[in-house]
Amino acid sequence: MKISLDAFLDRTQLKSLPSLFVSSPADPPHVRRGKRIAAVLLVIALLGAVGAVTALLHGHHAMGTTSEVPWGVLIATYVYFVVSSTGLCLVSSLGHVFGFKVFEPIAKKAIFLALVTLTVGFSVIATELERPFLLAKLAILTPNPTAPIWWMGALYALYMVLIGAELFFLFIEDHRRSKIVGAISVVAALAAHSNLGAVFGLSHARPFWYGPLLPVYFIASALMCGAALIILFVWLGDYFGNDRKVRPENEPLLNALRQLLALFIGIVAFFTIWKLITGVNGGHYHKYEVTMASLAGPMFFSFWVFEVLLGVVVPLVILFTQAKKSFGALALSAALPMLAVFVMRYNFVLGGQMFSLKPVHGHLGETFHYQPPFKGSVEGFLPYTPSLTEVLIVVGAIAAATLLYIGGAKVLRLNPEVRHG
Amino acid sequence: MARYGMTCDQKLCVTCNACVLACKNENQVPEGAARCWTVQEEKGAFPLLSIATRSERCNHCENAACVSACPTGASHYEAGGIVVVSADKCVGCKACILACPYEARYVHPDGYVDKCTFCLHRVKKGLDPACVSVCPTGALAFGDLDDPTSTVHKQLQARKAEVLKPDEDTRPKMFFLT
Amino acid sequence: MATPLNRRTFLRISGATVLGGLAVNAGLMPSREAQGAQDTSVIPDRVVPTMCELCFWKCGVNAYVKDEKVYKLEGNPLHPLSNGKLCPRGTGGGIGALYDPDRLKKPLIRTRVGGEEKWREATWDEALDYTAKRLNEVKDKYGAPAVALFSHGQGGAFFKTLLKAMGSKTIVAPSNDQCRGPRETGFELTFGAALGSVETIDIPNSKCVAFLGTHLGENMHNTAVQDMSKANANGATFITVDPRFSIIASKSKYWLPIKPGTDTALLLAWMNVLITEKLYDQDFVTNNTVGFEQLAEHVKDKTPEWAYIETGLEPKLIRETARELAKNAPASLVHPGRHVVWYGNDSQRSRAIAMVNALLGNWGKKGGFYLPSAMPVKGYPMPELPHGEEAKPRVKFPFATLPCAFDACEASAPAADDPPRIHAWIVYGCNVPLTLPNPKRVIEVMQQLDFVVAIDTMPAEVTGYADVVLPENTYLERYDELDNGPYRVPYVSLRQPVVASLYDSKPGWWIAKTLATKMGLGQYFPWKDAEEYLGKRLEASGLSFADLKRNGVLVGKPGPLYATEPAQTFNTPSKKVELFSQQLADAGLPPMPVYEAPEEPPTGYFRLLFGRSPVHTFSRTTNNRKLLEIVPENELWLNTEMARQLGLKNGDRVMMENQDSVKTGPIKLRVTERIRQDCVFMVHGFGREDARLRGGYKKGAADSRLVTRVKRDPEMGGTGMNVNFVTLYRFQEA
Repeated sequence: MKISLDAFLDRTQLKSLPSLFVSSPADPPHVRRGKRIAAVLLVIALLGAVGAVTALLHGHHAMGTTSEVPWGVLIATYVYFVVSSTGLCLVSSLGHVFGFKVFEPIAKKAIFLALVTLTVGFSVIATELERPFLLAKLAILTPNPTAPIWWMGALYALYMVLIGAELFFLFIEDHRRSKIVGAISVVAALAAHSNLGAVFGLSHARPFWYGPLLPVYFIASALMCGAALIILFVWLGDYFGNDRKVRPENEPLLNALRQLLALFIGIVAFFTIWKLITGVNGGHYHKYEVTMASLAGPMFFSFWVFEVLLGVVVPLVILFTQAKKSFGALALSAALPMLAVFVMRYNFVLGGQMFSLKPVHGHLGETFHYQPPFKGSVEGFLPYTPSLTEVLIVVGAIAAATLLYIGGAKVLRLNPEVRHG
Repeated sequence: MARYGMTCDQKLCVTCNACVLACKNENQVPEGAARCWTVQEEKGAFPLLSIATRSERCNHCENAACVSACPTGASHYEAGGIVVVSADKCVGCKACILACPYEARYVHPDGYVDKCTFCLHRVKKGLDPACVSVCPTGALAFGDLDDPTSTVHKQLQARKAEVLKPDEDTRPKMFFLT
Repeated sequence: MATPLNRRTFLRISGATVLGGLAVNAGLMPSREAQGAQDTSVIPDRVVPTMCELCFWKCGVNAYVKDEKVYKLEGNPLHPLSNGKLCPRGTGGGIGALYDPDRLKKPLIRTRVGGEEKWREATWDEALDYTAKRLNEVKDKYGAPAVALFSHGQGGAFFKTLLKAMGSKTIVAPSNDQCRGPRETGFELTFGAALGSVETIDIPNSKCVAFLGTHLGENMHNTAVQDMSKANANGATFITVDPRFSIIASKSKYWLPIKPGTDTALLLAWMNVLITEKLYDQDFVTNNTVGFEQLAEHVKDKTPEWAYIETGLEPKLIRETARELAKNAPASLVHPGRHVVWYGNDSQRSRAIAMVNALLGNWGKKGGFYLPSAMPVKGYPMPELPHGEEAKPRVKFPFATLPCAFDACEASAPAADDPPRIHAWIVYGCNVPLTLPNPKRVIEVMQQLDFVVAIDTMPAEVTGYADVVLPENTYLERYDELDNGPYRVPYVSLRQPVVASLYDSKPGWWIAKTLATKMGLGQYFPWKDAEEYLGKRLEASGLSFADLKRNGVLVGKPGPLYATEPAQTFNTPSKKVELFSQQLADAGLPPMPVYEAPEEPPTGYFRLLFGRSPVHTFSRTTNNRKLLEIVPENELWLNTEMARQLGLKNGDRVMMENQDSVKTGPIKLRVTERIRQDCVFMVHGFGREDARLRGGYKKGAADSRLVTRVKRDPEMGGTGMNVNFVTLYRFQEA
């Protein structure tokens, strides 16, 4: 051990938490603004807690999900958080595991945020389950190894332990052990996240999800999110801690990330294009209908504006032009994909459920009439609207993750200090 | 070991829904949910028309996607290949609902996932499932597919039958006589 | 002397009378924890056999009770009508009816409070005293026949006794001139026998059955469907003649998509083929009929080619189907139908059906029409009923053996300078405004009657216009008149209480008896209660009441089902089957059916046809929550091409307007290939207009509203209702 426990505790600054929300006279205006935003986030996080309690008390009755559309915005949000966590682990491993020095400085923050997003993600899905604690218990007592969800639980639990340990070793500056644990956690991250893709990808009943593409696509998305989030927390640290200017030691890092982000966005776009082509060409009812819903149907706006324009086109343009010069532009080119990924996960989770599997129109012009009439029995389309509880949990979770990060960064002194006089 | 299955004779079924209501009574199926349902599949153009009529439910597949997908083993095979959910082990993850190609499952208000059980509680007492008992046209039959004296066995020997979505490779045990 | 309440406004049965039901509904099902879902069994406290009343077939039902709640209904395996099976209405609807939160719970009296009309809850004594007083007033002032009874259901028997005790024979059943009447007349004129309910057709043994409009499978009369299915399973050939491709049409070898209103042409052409090709049963005709020569002459020119022009059916198809029927004779029949009031010439059409059956020689034969038997049950000894009279209707029909409800309704209103002949109505279990054509007219008539008392389980539309509303128990809470067939086996069937009365409602027998006593007619109800009434009668007939209570039904030995001699006797003037009816000729009516082409729909209009859903019994169940879950509303069937021309899509909501500019809707469209282009079809009984019927209010649309025109059957007065035309347009939300 390189550092003693006492010294470790000295390094933390729990007393400094309130200053996240309360402005002091010394604060410049942009910091004051930031603190006000943080206070608002705190309120939102508390509302999210209210939503979570409602969900725990009332279960599926508080949700907008139905027997026909059982996975809603909470599942999409959970995936969003774990894709972020995985990405952070993978991208930051380029530094302290694979030895690319330019990425080394952000190791602690990246792994810390990976842990935060993972925890928040788990909390979100716990509110979604009817009996989350029973799942934990039965996953150990009566596991079913053919179930992708069982593997999801097992692998992510393992991953959580591993990055917890990695963070610990990073903190006590034990670089040898952090590298070993880091390497294992990369493997765990790849396994867990591609398995999450397989939770959907192994659904033979739902052609829109089925296939080998999803596990790989999830990893590509994770890399993109990882790069974007690192850019964002560097920006956060420097914008508020270094008077809105990039710290010189972060310049090479940001330059590398800028290029990586562009690459990863390109890879994700590449996967998406092929997903669309096979969807349009495949002809299989379920896959074709959902693909067309994105390209020309009810999901038209969210697909073309959020996934394509804001998720790919605008960020790439900025990355190749303004981002080289402007710090703010770079941050924007990272924030937009993060927004787009949320929409992508939502469209993806809902997409696999938006049409009923019970046939409504057949290939030979048959029509099917069902009694009792089930939702979607006329045109096959199954609607879903998130309930207030679900919306509160989602926004609350995002706010909470942000606050936990900046709070943790402050308490654990992850940011280099503003030099006192 | 018995291998329980059901047949629905599309020639006889009139989609009256007596089966749906008998099941609702027998199994106290909550409002808004149904363990079985009827389908009229209409083909053709006036005046050359045909209708396939049938009563559908969980197919109690031999290679059930729902059983594979359940993380806790709540969805499992009972004796005779009847697929059942143990409510006390169901955590409400709903992976099974998404795995089922036939959309045979629903979320019970009490928070667990539920579906047709082939009226296992009746089968254990030597009775037919409620839907089979009530059917006024005699379209439904239930029994051991492997027992040469059972109605279902004899029907499947004598007549052409189809299953729903055979490409899903679930090997359903609900057969529709044509 | 109390002033008659003129101009009754429609009163809605208020929520205050509805609260109790909510509490019951909440605790409806025996509670069950999330146990291992393997064991969903409930052990009943008791199982009580009784007789269903979700429709009027009267199947035996076993009711399962746990913690004083009925949770399951199954067909009684001992009952010959159910054979252990049950239709969807009996299965789910019984529970839905018992626990319907909108049920009538207390007697109600209409009063005026501050210029406004309101319902006031009353005790039974008060309500019945008042009813007795008002009925006696009408009786004293206008004579007993001025009191009319509109009745449907087993319990009607007690009210019929009450009317007769009063000295009135003005007893009408809409099931006559709004339903089966012309069929009975047609068959009586031909074979001398009506077919009854549970028609005496030997379908299970039939090798060929032709259905004209009958849509078994959507019509779910339990035994009829079981029988049809047995024939189907045995490979019988079905021929369906229907403008709509019904479920039975889909199971038929031949579907004849006939132009609506032209069935008689088809029947005459069939007779032509059977006679010219000598396919008819010559022995039967020789031994049992009169008028064959006249018939042969009459149908000589009614060739399939002639019929093709009228019906649109290919001559080849007409010939093939006639030959198919003949090939399988005598185990071959043309189904007589049930609701036959279509075009106003329905007795003649029913007679044509009877005559085709006669040519097939299937009366009293296996697979044709069997000879039923009934279990004799003695009456209860009581004083002789007074000689009563019927209020004279303004129109009388020569072959109406029963009075017409339509004419009784009209006789209840003034006409030109003729005052009403009926001044008071007792309505038992029959929702008159939705049953008779043209609800608006029925309501007008009701509003100017001196007095109306309605006895029902639900606040059906008719109760909104009554002066007194008396809540009856559902069938699960009461004893009732016995059912003793006739059927292919003699039986007697019991309706007995399964659970105690949920509310302050009473059984029909008690209401009739108490009312009679208050009117001074108690001597005609000399028994103490239903148990005594039934018990003593069964005993006197050598039957065990205890056995009947335990099993729900007692079945006797059947008599011969089929004729044993080639020559049978018929209850007609000639004692034979009358292919030529002298009776009709003497009355100035066609002695043999004559084809009249139906009116064409105006341009842009469709003929309105209506029928049944397997899950409903018209307005009896269109508030029933259990059944509404399966079929929540009716839909309007429209041909695909017609929809395309009108720019309408499947699932669109449309308004319907008839030839008299009466509108109803909105109704959901079912665009389908399964119906001709010249007509539309909907299930009857939806579109409830009372907001207190919270289950069915405004669900679907009411076809009755659009039946503003009727064509009267000249023989017995049946009200042909398929003579209305509608146009459609998309519904615009206000």
